[in-house]
Amino acid sequence: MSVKMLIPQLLHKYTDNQEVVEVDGTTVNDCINALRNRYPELERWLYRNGKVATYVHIGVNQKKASVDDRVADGDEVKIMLATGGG
Amino acid sequence: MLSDDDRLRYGRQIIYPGFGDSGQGKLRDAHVLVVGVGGLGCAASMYLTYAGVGHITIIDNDSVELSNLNRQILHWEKDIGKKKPVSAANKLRRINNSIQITSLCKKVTEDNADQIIRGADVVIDGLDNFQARFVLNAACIRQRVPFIHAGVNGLVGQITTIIPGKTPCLACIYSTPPASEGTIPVFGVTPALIASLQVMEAIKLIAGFGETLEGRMLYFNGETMEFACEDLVKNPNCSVCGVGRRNLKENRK
Repeated sequence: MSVKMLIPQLLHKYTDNQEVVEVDGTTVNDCINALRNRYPELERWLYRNGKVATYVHIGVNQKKASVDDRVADGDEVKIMLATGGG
Repeated sequence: MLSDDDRLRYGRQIIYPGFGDSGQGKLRDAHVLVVGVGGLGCAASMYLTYAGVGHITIIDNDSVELSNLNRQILHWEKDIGKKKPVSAANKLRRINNSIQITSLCKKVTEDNADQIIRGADVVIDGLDNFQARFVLNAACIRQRVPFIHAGVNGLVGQITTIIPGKTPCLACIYSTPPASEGTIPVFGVTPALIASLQVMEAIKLIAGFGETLEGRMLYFNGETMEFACEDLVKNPNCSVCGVGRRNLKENRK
């Protein structure tokens, strides 16, 4: 499945300034892992202890989603940071 | 006019170039609301108190628990079981008895939010979930009160300053409230740092100098020691501050 990953501005410096990156995967988690494999420096912000951080907010085709959700060919996956604790 | 005591007490900030008696007077005349008296709210209300903000209202409906004490620095072991605003106000008054501290033991809801924030000069986000933040964000937009949003998770934090009618609001940034992160890990130093930045923003807003985080989200990553800023974009169709709000209103008619 080819999926478009929409990269937040603060991470563009780690993706060679690419705002959209196409990756393959069947779940959101696969796609984020594929993105990280291509641009390993993303791990600094998106991962904690080898897993996608709980503060990574995910939207698939503009609807709220989770890392376990399945994706289909042509889907757009948007990732944002959202630290909710206080 | 500031008193002689005020000039001594706040002297080191009064001498900041361009701040002076005028800036300190603006802080003294200001009313700042801190919603949530947890990790962010404790540190924020302390620095507002030390800075001499004349009226601080702190709001929370929770009681102090042992598991709060790694980060909620106004609550001590002897306070376990007390309502957080009562515990916090007690300490704040001892830090600075020349200002007014109002404590409200209640939850901010859609029904009471507008009434609570009406008349405040600035609202500081000390909440611990996005559902409640969205309620507060919408009320701040309606009441046209600047809202200094922040949140933390582990060693990561974020902060932006929302000016109603001018900047993107929280609902422009996230079209729906981000999902709960479960039990959120936090080291006390993360909310301490981010709350300090919230008060820095409040001081600049009230006194009218410097550049604030209007239209920008500042992220801090304590694991890698990086700060990064992201430009925020207003959503013209936003359901809170954009066309979507007017459409919602018209549909209700």
